[in-house]
Amino acid sequence: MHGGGAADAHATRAGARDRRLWPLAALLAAASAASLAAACLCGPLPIPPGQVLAHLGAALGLPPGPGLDPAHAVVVVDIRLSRACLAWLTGAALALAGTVFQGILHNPLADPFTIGVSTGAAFGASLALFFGLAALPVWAGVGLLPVAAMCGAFAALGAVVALGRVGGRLRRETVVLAGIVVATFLGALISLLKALDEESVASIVFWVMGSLQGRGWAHVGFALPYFLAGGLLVVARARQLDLLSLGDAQARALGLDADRARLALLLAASLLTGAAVSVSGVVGFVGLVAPHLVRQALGAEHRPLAVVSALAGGLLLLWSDVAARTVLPHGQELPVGVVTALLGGPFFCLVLRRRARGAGL
Amino acid sequence: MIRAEAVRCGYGRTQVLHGVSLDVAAGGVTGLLGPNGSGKTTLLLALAGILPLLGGRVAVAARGGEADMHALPARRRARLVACVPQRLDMAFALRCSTLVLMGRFAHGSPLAGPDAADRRAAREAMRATGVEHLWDRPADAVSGGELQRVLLARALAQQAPALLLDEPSASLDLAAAVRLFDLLRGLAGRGRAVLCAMHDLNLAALYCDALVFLKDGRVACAGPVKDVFHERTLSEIYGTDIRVGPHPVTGGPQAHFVPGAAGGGAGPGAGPGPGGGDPGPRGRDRGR
Repeated sequence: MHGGGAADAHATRAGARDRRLWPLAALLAAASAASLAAACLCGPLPIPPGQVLAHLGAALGLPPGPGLDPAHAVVVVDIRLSRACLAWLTGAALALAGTVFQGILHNPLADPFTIGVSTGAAFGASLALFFGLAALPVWAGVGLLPVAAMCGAFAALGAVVALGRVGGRLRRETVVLAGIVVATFLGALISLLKALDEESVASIVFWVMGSLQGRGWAHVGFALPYFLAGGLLVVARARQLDLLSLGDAQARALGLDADRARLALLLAASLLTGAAVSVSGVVGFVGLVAPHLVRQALGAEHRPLAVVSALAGGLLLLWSDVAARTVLPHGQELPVGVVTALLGGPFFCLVLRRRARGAGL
Repeated sequence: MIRAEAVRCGYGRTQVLHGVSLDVAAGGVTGLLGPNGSGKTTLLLALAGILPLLGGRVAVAARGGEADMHALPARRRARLVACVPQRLDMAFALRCSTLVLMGRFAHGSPLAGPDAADRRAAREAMRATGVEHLWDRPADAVSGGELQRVLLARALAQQAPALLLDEPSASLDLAAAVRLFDLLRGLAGRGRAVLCAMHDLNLAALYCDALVFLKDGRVACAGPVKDVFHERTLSEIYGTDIRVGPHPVTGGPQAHFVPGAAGGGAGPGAGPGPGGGDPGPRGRDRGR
C-alpha cells in the first residue's frame, strides 16, 4: 500500500479545498454588504449617492454630515435599506431551505416549494386576504397576513409529516408523495377562494407571485427570529445531510438516527420557507438555483454548501428585487417572483445545457 | 463479539431469514457464504442493527457485558459495529475524504464537524487501504475497486471492534483482493471480529477461520474451515458439483468447479440455477 510520506501532501490538498471555500464565502459576504448599500442608491426619488451613503453612515452611528434631509433619511433607511435587508434575508432563507430539501429528498431539482410548505403559506395568506383581514394589526406593525401565512406553512408541514409517516418512519419517497398531495389540494383551495370572491383575486394573485413592495423593518423583525433559528439548525445539522444523502441504511450504520435528523431538518427548512413566504409571497427559483450553482463550484458537502448558498441566494434576491422596482418607469413595480423566474429560467437552462455538454452527453 | 439468536427478519411481508443463529468471534475472520438470494446481505443488516427483527435477537459484547443490538442508540451501535456496504447509492458526489470522515460521525458531537483527530484517523485509515491519494477526489470519479477501499477505510476510521463486510472483494482485482484479505487478517490478529459476506469459496478457505453457509434464509452449515469445507457439503449447498483439493502453497483446502454440473448435485429444494442473476435482498420469492 502507499508510503507514509504522502500524509503531508494530503494535508495541503485538504487545505486547498478550504482555501477555495473561505475566499468565496468572504467575497460573497463583502459583495452582500456592498450590495445592500448599492441597493439604497436605486429608487424613484433621486437622491445623490453621496447623501445616500451619508444617511447609511448615520444609521450605522457615524456622525451625520451637515445638510442632510431627514425626509431622505426615511426613504434611504426605512424604505430602501429595510427592503434590501429583507430581500437578502429572504433569498438566503430560500437558498438554505433549498439546500436542505435537495439533500433530504436526494434530488438536485427539489426546492423549498416541493413539499407543499409554501403552498400552505400561500393558502394561509389567501384566507386572510379572502376574509379581508390581511391588514388587521396583530404584531408591532405587521398585519395578520404573515402570521396567517406562517400558520398555513406549519399546518401544511404537519399534514405532510402525518401523511408521510409510514409505520412510524418518515421516508423520503412518502414525504415527496405527501407533499405533492398536500400542495395540489391546497392549490385547489386557493383557486376556490379566488373563484368565490372576485374582489380579492387581484391581491391574492399579486401576493402569490411574490413581492417585497411596501415591506419594512417590521417585517424584518417578524421574520428574523425564524430565519436565525432555522439557519442555525440547518448549519448545525448540515453534516447529517451528508450522511442522509447516502440513504437511510448507511446513515444509521454510521450512527445517525435518520428519522429524527430528517424531521429536524425538515422542520428547520420549513421554518425558513414559511418565514420567507410570509413576508415575500412565493418567490421561485432562488431556492433551486443557488444551491445548484454552489454545488457545482464547491462540491456537494452540505456544510459549506449551506453557508455559501445562503450568501449567494441573498445576493440573487437582493438584485432581483432592485430590478423589480426599477425596471418599469414611474415607480411601477414587477412582482419579484416574476423577475427571479424570468432571470432564473433561461439561466438555469444554460447551466444545464453546459453541464450536459461538459459530461459529453 | 456478535451473536445472533434465531434471527428472523425480512422486508415488508417477505421474510428472508427464518431463524438464523451464529456467533462471530473476536480475533477471527468469519466468512459468510451462500448462493445468490440466500440472505447474506439481509443478515449483515440485521446484525448491524439496521434492519428491525421479526423475532430472535442480536447480542453484542459491550463494556464487559452484553447488549441487545437493536435496543442500542444509533451512535453506540456505530461505535461497536462498522459496516462496509456492497455498493453506494450517492445522491450527490461527495469527496472520498468526506465519506471516510463519516466513519468518525459516531465519535464526535453529532452537531460538530470533524476535528483534527478525526482527520488524522481518516487519513490513517485511507493509508491502510491504499487510497490516501484519493482524499480530495469526488467519489463518483474513482473506480469501483477504489471506492470499495474508500468504504473500507471509512469502516476502519469508525474504529469499531466488529467489522461487517458485504462482498468487499467483488469489484477488486486479484492483487487488491489479496491485499484486502491480508489487511482483514491483520485486523483480526489485533482482536477485531470480522464477518465477511463473500462469493469466492477459495478466498474464503484461504483467509477465514470459520465459515457460515446460508441457504434459503437458514444456516445450512457452519464451523471451522477444515470441518465444513468438504465436497459433499459444498456441492449440496451450491447445487453444482464441487471438488476439493489442496492449495499448492498452503496445503489448505481449495474448491474446484466442474463444468456443466450445475443442477446435477442439488439437494431437495434446489437453489437457483446458473445465470439466475442476483435479485438482491428484495428478491420476491426468496424464502417463502
